[in-house]
Amino acid sequence: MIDTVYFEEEVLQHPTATRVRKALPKANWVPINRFQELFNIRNQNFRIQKKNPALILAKKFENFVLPVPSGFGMNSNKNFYFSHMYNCLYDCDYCFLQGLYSSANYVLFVNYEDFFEHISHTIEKNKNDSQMFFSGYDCDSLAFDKISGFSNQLLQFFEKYQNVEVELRTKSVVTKSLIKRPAIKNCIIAFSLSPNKIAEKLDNKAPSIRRRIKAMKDLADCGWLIGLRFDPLIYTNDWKVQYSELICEIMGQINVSSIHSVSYGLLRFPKKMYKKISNLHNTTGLFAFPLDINNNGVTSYGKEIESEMYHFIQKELQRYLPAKKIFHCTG
Amino acid sequence: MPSEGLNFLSKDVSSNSCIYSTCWVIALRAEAAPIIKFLKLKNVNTQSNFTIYANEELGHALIISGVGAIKSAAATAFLKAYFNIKNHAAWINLGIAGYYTEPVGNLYQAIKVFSPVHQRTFFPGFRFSKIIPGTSLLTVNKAETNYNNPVLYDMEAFGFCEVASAFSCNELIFVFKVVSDTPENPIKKLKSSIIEDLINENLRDLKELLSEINKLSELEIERLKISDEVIEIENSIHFSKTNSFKFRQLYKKWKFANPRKTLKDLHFSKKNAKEIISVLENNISSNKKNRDYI
Ligand code: SF4
Repeated sequence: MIDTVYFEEEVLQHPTATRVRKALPKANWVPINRFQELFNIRNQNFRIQKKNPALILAKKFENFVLPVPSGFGMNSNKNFYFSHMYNCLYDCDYCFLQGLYSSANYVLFVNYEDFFEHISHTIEKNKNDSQMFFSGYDCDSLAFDKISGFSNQLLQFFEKYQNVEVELRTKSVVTKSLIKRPAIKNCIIAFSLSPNKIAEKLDNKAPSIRRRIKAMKDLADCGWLIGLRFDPLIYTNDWKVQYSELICEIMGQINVSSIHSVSYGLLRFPKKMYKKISNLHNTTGLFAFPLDINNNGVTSYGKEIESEMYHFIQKELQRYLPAKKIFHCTG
Repeated sequence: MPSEGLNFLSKDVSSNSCIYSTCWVIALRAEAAPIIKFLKLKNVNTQSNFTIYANEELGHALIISGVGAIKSAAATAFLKAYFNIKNHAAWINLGIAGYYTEPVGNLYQAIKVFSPVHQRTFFPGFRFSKIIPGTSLLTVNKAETNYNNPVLYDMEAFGFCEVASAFSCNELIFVFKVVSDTPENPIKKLKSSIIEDLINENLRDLKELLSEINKLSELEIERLKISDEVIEIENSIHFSKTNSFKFRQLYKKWKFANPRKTLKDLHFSKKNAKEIISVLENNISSNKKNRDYI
């Protein structure tokens, strides 16, 4: 578990810090001024650091709520995201966080109350539009929850805004706290999924697909709305069989009425990010594929494969679900 | 082969790599003596004021810097330049230090190094908390006698970190300190033999640390490794910086798809950078849809 907690001295008395202290009684607590002095050090090695990340407790001052990149949202007119945490307990080969940050340390912003205040301002400002908020853009929404206690406070907050949707995106099976409380109809627990063989190879440290499906089923049985996220879709020679089996297995376990939405997106990276990430890995299978770079500087499988995957997945999903529940994510 | 008992330090270093992959920067001869003995390091005639010891077989080099942050920084830079140390090398600053609490003799990893003079902080090293505890350290200009802060006090680590962090990644820069003085046992003129004993008594932990450091730098060697056949081609044909980067990336992909082939099997005709890159590109793309990437 986490052996070292670096903390901004100003946050030590914050209730979230007190909670973390209780959750990590054996950790070494080291004071710092601001999280950037540690998180943004030059010449860090993400891969080595990932073997034993530290936790940094910090206070966030700005950019609490941001509009999602275009192509990321779903049905709502206005889509926003917020990041109470940077980095993730898991270590997926394709994770864009390795390209986004130079540090693998976890940063937890303790001032949840400021996030909620900014989210309520955003809701108020956009009250004439349908709105959706995404948690888990720069982390996994639930994986750290035992320590952070974030989701419970988030749900208490969104319970008051029934006309606004919130998505918790995760690969975690730590769902006890959700199962213990009544489901909230405007909250979607969205699971990222890949075929078993692919997940076993690429979703390092994350729960197996079998366990994720079981967690989804448990949540659905308790009335929670489920999101299915096939993003990124990964190409390999027998991808059709693999994805078709996965979709069939999920649909056999989860009642369609519990499924809020399904989205899928192809493997894609901005050119610079791809260069950085592939340099961190010594050509695992994922990075051995000769990806194309399009005119917008996006590295991907290229038009031919993308279109084949897009049509196949769309068709497979439509065997079980109405088209209005299926979204192609490009952001 | 490495000397018996030191096999755990052996590395698979390719022929185009510098042989030294662990570099020690130590202020005093007495602090260095146990390491020199343990690693069977031999004196290297540098014809300079710096004293260097090295063991080629094990890939360890050690420099005695003298006392103070500036000397430590200068020695680090000298060692790097002298052996043309590569950026996968691990750098270790080992020495004695004051500590705010008892007992004398404990070994710590400094995971935060602060200089009150420069008002700057380093956070060096992958943390080995399962082996030894981590703590903060202040690099001061003269020996500390008050021990007011809950930290280690030394006179070199900041200078060492400042320079070493420009050479290797931060996770391969290590500061290890043995407590030599505390409020109950304040600093006095320590005899060389006592300093040697303090280090010697921690050799077991140091050995375990070295074994772990060795694993980390092997990962870096593996990640940064450039195949000998790539180097051979780059030495015989002109590659611009961009082309060289492209070639190396393509080579890795090609090798993944053709693990048993060598570049010679591709029979390049003109042997210029452009042709080589294009042959590799075509070769990788030709069958890309049928490969199992997972
Ligand atoms: S679960 Fe998501 S955030 Fe975490 S490592 Fe995997 S891709 Fe990254």
